[in-house]
Amino acid sequence: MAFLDNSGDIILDAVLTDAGRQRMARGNFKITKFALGDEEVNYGVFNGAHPSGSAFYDLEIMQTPVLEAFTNNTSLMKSKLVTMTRNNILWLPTFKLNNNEQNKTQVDNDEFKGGYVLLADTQTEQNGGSQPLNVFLQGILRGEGTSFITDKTTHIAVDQGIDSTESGLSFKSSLSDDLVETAFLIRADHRLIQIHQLAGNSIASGVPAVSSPLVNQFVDDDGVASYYVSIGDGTSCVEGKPGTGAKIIDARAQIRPSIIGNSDPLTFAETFEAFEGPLGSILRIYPRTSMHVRQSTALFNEIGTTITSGKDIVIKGDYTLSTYKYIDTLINVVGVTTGYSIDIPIRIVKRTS
Amino acid sequence: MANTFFKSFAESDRTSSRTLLHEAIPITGTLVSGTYSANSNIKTFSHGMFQSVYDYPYASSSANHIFDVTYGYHASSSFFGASNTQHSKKSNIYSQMAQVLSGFDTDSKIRRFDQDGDFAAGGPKYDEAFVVTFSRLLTKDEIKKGSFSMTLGTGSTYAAPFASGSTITDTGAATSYNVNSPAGEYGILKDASSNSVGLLYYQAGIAILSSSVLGPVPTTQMDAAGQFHGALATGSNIDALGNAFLHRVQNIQFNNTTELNSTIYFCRANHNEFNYSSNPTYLSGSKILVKNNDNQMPPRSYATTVGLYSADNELLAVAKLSEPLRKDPTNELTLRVRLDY
Repeated sequence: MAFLDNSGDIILDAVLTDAGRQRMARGNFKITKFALGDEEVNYGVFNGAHPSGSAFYDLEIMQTPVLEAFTNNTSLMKSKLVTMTRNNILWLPTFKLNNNEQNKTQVDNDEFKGGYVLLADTQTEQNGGSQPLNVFLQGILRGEGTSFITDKTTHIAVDQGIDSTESGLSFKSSLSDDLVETAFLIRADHRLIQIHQLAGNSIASGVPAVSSPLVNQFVDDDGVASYYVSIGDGTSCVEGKPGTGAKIIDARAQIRPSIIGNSDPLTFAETFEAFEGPLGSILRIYPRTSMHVRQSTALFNEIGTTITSGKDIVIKGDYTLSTYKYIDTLINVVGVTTGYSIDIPIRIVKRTS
Repeated sequence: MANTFFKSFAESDRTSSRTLLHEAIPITGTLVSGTYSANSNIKTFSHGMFQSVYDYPYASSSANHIFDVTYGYHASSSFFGASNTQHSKKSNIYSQMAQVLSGFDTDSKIRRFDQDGDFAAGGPKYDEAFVVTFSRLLTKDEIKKGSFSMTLGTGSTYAAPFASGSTITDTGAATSYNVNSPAGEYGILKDASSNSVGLLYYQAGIAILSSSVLGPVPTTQMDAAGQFHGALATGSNIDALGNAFLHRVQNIQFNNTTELNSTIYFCRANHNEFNYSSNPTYLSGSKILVKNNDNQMPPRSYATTVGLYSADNELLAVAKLSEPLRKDPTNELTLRVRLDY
């Protein structure tokens, strides 16, 4: 895509996306709302100390060249402008993957740092045997079999909060209600992954955790499924800020209600949290592999990589995977209140011998 | 008002419009006959019903089909005869074109092409005709009325077809045309002396041309052997008549019309909307960069893109601004996004 000519009047270059054209063909094309995006803008070049004054603070931003529109619906509107009711907000909450060991959502695999390894099928999970294996290491998720409470990672948790302790901000401070996420949009490649919710209180019960699939809103022309989850929607996915009730009963959930305003140091509670500043809501999901991924290597051959040696993945103490195929993909999570988004790296791994 | 990044359209935020877009289509005669050796851009078919003209040798994937030419006659024609070469095909071509373009009378009989378009008044008909069917690639939705011009060589010898010429046009058709055809609107083609020489069907993109359009029928040589029109109409096939026509095409020109139906969405950002951003660079340690450490400083953001969404949050259309637009509590924006169908 080329840059748009910005030497004259401001123009709008409008196109239907591929998803829009597909909907038109299906007869359900109806535009009902809009959003504004700013994905080309780097706010880091905003110079609030420009010697020539405030009129020059955004000089470099205003000179940002803008690309022509893509038609791929998943490539656009990655960051959006947000309507907030107040103008006096100085800190905005962001998202982080919760990476605390006590919370069992670590992301620290040697061969795939920063993401999660999702085992494609029970053959991979059982190392080719017939019995389920237990106590998988951190960052390992089961794509087909039932997850175990003893696994180091039992789900993916996306935490919302303010990443600062400046001006006395603390995780024991309450995040303003108008900044707390109440709903999330989740997008994942439907050819590879289905998003599940965790079953209510199973984590604390000491029995294998049970998950159930979420119903997607639609699958677009690129095979990307969209899910919408919110507080009070009947799923266990979204939990509000501390003190507003837990959806998943685990050790973290038992401590979290007493955090706000507590005068104790709460060092144990702090170890569960991803943010040092005020805490917002939590999104908990469990990705499961699709039937196609479980039963076939076709997609692995087409869009994946085959490993025969030299890149071992330690699944558990006595199980190391050394010959396998994998596909790297992303799960995209967008907060509907703040518009903030995060991409969760997922490596789907299938044992080949 | 809850915090959000979507804003729903009110009924007053959308409207529709219709725009007609015209392109000039020039077709030079050398393209039709002579530019390519062995007429490699003229495609003939084993059925012999018509010839297709391309803008490049038709065997190439770069070639575009531009028009077809064929010939037909009615039973009332003086050339009509069961023993003629390709008699049934010439008759069928006329019938096919007449039933599509002129329709049927109250007795369900095919109406002949009427020279002035007034079927009720009777009057002269075109009982034999060259038919030129233009490709939709050229005509798009229709030929623009009053823009058509075709210059044909009317020289009496085959060797010098352009020794004299005739330009036929649909002059005046922009404000005066006929609508009594089942195939849409049509105009009367006339020569420089205002004699009717054919009919032009605008939406169908078809010209019906009198047999006399290439010069006096009894005296104009139509092929290298010096045969006249009557001899070809009776004793030659349609391809020979098509070749005779293409041999005398000097120029064809018209404007096409594309009808654009547009929906215009007015994306209104009020002073208190869209002043913050979810751009990861907007924050440093969760702090908003553009506030300069002062929470009383008004927020600001910079829009580069407008996304249009379905009710279930699927991105259906997108519009890019040519430069970032600043949005803060002191200004309001109305972005007019037009989608053409």
